[in-house]
Amino acid sequence: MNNRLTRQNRIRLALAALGLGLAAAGLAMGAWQRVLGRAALVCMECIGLG
Amino acid sequence: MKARTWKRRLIQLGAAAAYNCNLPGFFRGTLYKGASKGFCVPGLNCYSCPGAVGACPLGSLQGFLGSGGSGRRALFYVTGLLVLFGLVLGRVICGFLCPFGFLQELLYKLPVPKVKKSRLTRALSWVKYAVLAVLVLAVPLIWGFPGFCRFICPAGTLGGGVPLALANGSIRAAIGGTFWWKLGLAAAIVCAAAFIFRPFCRFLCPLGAIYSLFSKTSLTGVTLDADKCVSCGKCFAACKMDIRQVGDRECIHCGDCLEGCPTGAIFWRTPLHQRNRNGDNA
Repeated sequence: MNNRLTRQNRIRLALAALGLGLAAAGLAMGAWQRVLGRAALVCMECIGLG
Repeated sequence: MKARTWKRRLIQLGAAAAYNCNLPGFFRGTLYKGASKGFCVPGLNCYSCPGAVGACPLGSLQGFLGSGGSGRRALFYVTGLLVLFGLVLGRVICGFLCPFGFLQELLYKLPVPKVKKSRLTRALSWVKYAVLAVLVLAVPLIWGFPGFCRFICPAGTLGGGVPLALANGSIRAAIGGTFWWKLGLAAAIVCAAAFIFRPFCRFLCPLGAIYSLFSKTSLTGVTLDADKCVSCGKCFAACKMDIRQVGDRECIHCGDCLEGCPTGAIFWRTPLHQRNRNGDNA
């Protein structure tokens, strides 16, 4: 059981590092502005006009 | 209604209101353009909804998968956020923080005959993974357009398409066949939700499919203490989702199973209060 939990926590740590790393890398490359630029315009596909 | 259910309803209502608090947008037929739209909210909430103050993670994912060159760099950010949401909350997001799930739960309150879960609904619960693989990932990558948003997403139709068409004449003039297809599908899902518990979440939602991948690792949610469990099946009977076991990929952590457990084998874990499956503090 302990080994299983240790493995589960290891996976959690790896996922946290992966998620934070990806998000930080994306932000460093200007992702916030890109998401903002996309989300501030009407998405024709979303509303059924695309 | 139980206190726990009331609490969840309030959180669901709060999340829906927080995602869509740009109320003037509904009257003007325009979108919010503030800085908060650079953040992807955890639940399914169309960024083309006039009230939306955040971005939809699925719409962003498909949009950047379909865009070439430097646009794809934003995928790091969107994917990173999805991993973090999945790790910290998992499908708790479906149960507490998704406005479309909330809407379906309210519709299920209507006094009409109900379709109970069965082997068929359990089998249909796999369809959402096909939707994720084909419409969210493959179609944008190969054909460059967001397949799920274009053909399926009822949140986009009801949250974005209908309010914008009602308030904005130029959008109303551009309505065509795709709009009517999506409106018909959204209407079918809304009608089905009166008879079937959360049909869109169970069978079609690719965001739920993504979060379900974190069911074994997410830090928050209901968990079964295997040593205390006497396999009476009361949790399974209390649950309206297609679960096989508390906390599995279909569990949205609504907590309906908590009161029914005769041995107290089901408990709630949070990032600050982790217990292992033996019930000991970890």
